[in-house]
Amino acid sequence: MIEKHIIKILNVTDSSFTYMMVKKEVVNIDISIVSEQSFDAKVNIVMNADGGTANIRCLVLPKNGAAISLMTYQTHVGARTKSDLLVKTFIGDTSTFLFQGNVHIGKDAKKSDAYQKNINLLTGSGGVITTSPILEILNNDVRCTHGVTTGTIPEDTLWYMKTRGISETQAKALYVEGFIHDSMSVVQDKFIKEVIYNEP
Amino acid sequence: MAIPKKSFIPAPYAFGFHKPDEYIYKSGRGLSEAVIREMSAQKGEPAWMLNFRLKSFGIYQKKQMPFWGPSLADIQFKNLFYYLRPVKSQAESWNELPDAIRDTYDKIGIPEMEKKFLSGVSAQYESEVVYKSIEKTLHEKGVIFTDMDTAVRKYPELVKQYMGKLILPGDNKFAALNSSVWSGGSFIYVPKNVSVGLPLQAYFRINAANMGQFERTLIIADEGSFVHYIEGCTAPIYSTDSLHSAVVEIFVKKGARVRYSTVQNWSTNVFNLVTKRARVEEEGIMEWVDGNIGSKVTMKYPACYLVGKKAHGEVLSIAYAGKGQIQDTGGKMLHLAPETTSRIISKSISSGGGRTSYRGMVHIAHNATGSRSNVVCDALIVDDASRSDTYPKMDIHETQSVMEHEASVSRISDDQLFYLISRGISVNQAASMIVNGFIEPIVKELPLEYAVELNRLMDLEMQGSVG
Repeated sequence: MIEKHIIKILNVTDSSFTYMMVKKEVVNIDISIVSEQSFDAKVNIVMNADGGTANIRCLVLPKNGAAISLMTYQTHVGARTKSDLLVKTFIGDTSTFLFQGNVHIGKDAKKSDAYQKNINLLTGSGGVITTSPILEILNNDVRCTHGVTTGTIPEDTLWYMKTRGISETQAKALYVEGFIHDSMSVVQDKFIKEVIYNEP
Repeated sequence: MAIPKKSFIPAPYAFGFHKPDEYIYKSGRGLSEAVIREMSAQKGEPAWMLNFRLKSFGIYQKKQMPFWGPSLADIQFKNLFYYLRPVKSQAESWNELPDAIRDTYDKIGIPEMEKKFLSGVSAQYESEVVYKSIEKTLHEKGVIFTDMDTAVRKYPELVKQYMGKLILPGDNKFAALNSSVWSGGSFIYVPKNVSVGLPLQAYFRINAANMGQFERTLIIADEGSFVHYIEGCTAPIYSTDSLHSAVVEIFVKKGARVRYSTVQNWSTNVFNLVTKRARVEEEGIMEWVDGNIGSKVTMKYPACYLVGKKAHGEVLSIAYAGKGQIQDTGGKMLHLAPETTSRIISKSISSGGGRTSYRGMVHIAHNATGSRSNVVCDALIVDDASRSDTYPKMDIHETQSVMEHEASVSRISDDQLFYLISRGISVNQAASMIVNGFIEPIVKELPLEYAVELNRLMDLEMQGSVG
């Protein structure tokens, strides 16, 4: 099977991404949203081809009090389609993130498998995360799950690092880096890396 | 794997009997200020209550229908009766009740239940509580357990202080409707540090075509007290649409605990639109246990406002949607104070073309430090014609908090079915077993006879639904 890799950076001027799968393939999509300006992003994945697979990873880093909303659509039309969405967000200031994830599995999308995961790390006082993962399932021969977690840096993790002689600031930066790493290991964008490493 | 398909003859609705109407007073169809005035006069209510009703009616007229959720266009507001009064005054004992009413209750088994371990039964037949028996010990402990109409007359200060304070008439259109035409429902006051050992319960029935039932329940659990309230509903079948729109307000004071259990099995022509809310103070615990099996459309999202430090809220809910049914249920948790915790567990089953939706909200306010919330919703879709949706919303304003949500949608697994069939269990039985196992964690929270009833209902509903 053909395997594709797409890297996409969304910003104010280019705020939406659509992928229509027309033939059976595996597509890995990496989306980064790093912005100091507020905007509404949209990611639309339509699984038309029977047996197709899409892995979507979104990294969202709103900065400087920006309000970013992200709408994702995983629409399963074809049978035996598989989609896996991961949205990771880190807010370290008073920024706002609004996520609405839509999984729609149609009548004919038998044996489909959809997964939707939203993990949020909130360390900035005054920051707001609103998340609304939606599932709409119209046939019974599917597997569909989603999960959302929102939290802050665990005290015990910080304490562990501090006992190893790492300062609190450094420890926090390490944790944030680790948090983001798995969703951005393939992203080579210099700007994004700067944003992360400059994190206090 | 091929599983033998079985032809399915739907079982007749088990509780679908209906008795001839016998009313002392029946309001005309539709709602107007005159109907409300007439109703209030019939009840002999004080002026402040009439004013509350009229004010709410004004709000009701201005409010829009909800713009989200299932369609409510089929509700014939103009064709409903808004007030019915079956017997002249409240009966003191079982034998004083009219035969038809007693017969209805016999069918749903009230006397037997009473004989067992239940303390108080306050049965609602139509809009009025016609029969109630309150155990002596409740009086001795200072617990007030009565119907709302009596409470307005006997305890006006308490009612004035709490009624409509948590769910304001302007909260939503149906809360406004209920506030203007409410009738019946329970009033419970538990004094400080009193624990009511036996569950208090009320049976509700609707028995007139096109009748709206608007009961109003108010529970006040004073500091350090405990009470378990149970409402169970079974209603006869009618061909025209009926509306049931209740409002339940619960005040959980410091260190108190309230558990509110509902088993709802309205017939499949009833719109069940209920607003339920609890205000939980410091170290208080509120638990909603909710079983929704019947009705045409149910929209019900029990809420906990966690306003005091270390308050805890819980919603355990089961929804079953069969043919033509929509169960739009869920829960709402508002964390407004530090170290508050909440849990929502929702299990839904859709079969025969039914639709279940989980709709919920978790809000963690700024400064609600150390709050935790956990939401789990599992859905089971039994056949191809059915549908299941999940519409959660989580709003996090506090960094020092943890929120987790997970949902899964699945079918009855072929492996499990195959295993059971290979042990000589029929397909239907196997499916029932799996479904009953699926809802088990919540059913076990219900009192025994409700758990048995719910399991039986599930068996009944699941007959022949697997193919």
